[in-house]
Amino acid sequence: MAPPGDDDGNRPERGVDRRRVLQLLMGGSTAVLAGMAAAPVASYLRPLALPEAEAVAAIDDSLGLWEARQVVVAGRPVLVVRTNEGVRAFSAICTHLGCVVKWRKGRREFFCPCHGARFDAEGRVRGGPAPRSLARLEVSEEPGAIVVRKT
Amino acid sequence: MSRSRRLWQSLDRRTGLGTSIRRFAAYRVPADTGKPVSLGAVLVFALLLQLATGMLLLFHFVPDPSGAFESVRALMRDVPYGWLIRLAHAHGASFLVAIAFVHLFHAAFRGSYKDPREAVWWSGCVLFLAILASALTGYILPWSQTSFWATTVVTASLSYLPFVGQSATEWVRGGEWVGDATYRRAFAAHVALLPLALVAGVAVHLAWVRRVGLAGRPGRRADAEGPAPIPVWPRVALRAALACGVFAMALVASVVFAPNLFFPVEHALPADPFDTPLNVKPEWYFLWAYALPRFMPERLALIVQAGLLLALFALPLVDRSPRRHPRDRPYLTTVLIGVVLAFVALTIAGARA
Amino acid sequence: MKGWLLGGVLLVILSSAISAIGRADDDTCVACHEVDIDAVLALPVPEWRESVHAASGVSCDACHGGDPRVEDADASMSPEAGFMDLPSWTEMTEHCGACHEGIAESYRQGRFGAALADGIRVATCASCHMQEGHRVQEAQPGQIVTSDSCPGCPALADPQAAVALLGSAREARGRVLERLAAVEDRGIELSDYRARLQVERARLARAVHGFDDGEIARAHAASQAKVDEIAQQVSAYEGQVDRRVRFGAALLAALAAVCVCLWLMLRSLS
Repeated sequence: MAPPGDDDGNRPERGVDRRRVLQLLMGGSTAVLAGMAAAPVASYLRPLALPEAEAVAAIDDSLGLWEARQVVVAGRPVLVVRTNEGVRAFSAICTHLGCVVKWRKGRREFFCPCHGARFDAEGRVRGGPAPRSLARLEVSEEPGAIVVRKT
Repeated sequence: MSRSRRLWQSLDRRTGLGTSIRRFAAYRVPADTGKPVSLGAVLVFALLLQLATGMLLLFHFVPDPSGAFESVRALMRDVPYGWLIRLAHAHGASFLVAIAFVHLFHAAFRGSYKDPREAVWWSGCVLFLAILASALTGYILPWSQTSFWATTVVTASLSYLPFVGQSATEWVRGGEWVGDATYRRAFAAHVALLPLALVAGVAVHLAWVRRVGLAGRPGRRADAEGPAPIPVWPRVALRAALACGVFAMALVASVVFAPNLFFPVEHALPADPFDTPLNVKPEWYFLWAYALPRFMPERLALIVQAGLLLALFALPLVDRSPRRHPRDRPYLTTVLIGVVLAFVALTIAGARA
Repeated sequence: MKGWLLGGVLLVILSSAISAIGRADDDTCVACHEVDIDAVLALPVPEWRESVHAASGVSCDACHGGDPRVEDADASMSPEAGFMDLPSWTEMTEHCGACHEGIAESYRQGRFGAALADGIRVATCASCHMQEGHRVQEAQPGQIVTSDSCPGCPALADPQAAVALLGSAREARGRVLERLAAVEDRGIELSDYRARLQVERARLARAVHGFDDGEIARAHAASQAKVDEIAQQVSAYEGQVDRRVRFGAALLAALAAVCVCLWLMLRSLS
């Protein structure tokens, strides 16, 4: 909006001022626009909440001593094992890098096929790169069934 | 010399980035370029928007007949801003096709296809067809009733081609009937083949434009000098940016305030191969082709379409005089106006049918 | 969750079955009875046109049998073509129940069904729904058989209350449907919620035809709770629509600001 009679030659600082204001306005509105375009993309790419999976699983009580069976609790694999001190349930996710451990009956230990981490029947690290014990789940023996719960 | 300036110069020395920008800014084009609207710039912008929204859609879209419809519904309802990205892509396609139509006819009226710009014209025609193919294949992907039946009808119309009809239909469908195989073909074409072709095609189109220069507004006589050329920066670039901004405003307005503008009711129903809905119609830009067989036998309609395609490519070969002004070539201008009017009339007829 | 999914699927199958039974377009029954026959035999046609059956494409042959595609009158109404004239009183529930499965079942399980099975001539489908001839509709208060119109009738203790309950349920569903349509206009497609409302309607209709006041009140309460739940989800989408419009307006404003700046810069060049 150039007012009539405005002459850049005579009053250079006014033209410079106006240009400066325009540049600031342009920069500001472009930044706002960029933000308004980026924010939706950021929330669009945020992981969605999954529907809750069943947090309880049951198996029949035919599980023999030093035998293990895999069940699914809350959508993740869990190993139920009968030791001489009773039934235990552990998350089968290796604490090293998340592979699923296997039960080795002969050695009475959990073994991770990825990097060879080993855990004893109480879930404690016996060897290999695992930093922590296997996560333990609540397990109860009921008449005819073994019930595993994630709390 | 400031630190950031030194960094920039060292980057420029290795990549030539600054030099290319400066060279582009100083590139001289006819003074009226981008007046009143920079159609080419808006097309590039719209295409980039389609690429960006299309890639984003792939993060949530399930490309399979068994899950596509549900995943689009989830995008529209549950994914944060999924509606914005999906509608911008779907509405953007219609805008892109519309502007491509205008760009094409603008070039035809101005005689921009004449020596030495024939290759620019041909690359533009290929791009135009690729845009239409993208729109068609994209329409299939939500696997709604309209997706399914539009695909059925379009592929079946190919069977009227002489000699190769039946096998052409089967080849396009990937089988005897429209089904999973058809869907996979459409998906592969829509997200890999066609985007690649479009990006490469635009690069070639622009490289050739740069090589031969923009045609500019035609003078009344062949030897008339156009307005003196000006550099791209600032005037032409600002015009292009303004046109893109207005385009974005129109797109946002339609997405937010008229979300169902381009969707018939049947687009909200999942595909059912055993039930054809009452109104099977293509999108507005194919209505003219949909209306053609109502006035002539199917085979003749197919010949007319093939003829139009041929004429599109043959235009620079048919009209070889150096005169570009529409009034200097009244015969062709009349034909062009006739084609535009016929397109509008057929579109209206198709919409009413 | 599973219940309404199943209900929805049944509804879809049912409605497609209904639409397959016979479209009025290619129907010789209607064509002949409307013009070529004496007044009495032509009477049902205009009545039928105002029925729910005509509205959903169910034609004469659905109840009377015969072949509506055959033009010859004798052939189309021969026993070979499955013609059966009037359905008998005792077979009425099976006739209507061919489509209205759930309702027929709850009728049969109710006290009327038991009496009918014992050979007592009690009220059945037509008693309420065909009081206006072939203008078959949802029964209105005055049309429902009560102990006034049928002495010794063991029907509902308070038919007016039941009718009022049904009316309020219909209105509640109607209100939700209206809001649902408004949301769909704004681009959020909700056909699955529409189907869930239909399931609630069918559930209530089914309960009514057991003719037990307590059962009707219970079903009404249950269906009302479901409809309220759906209404709540619809209002969540209404909120989403509002947020979309607000975001769109803000985005447009930012774009307009950029455009104005560009325009001013272009102007300042000349």
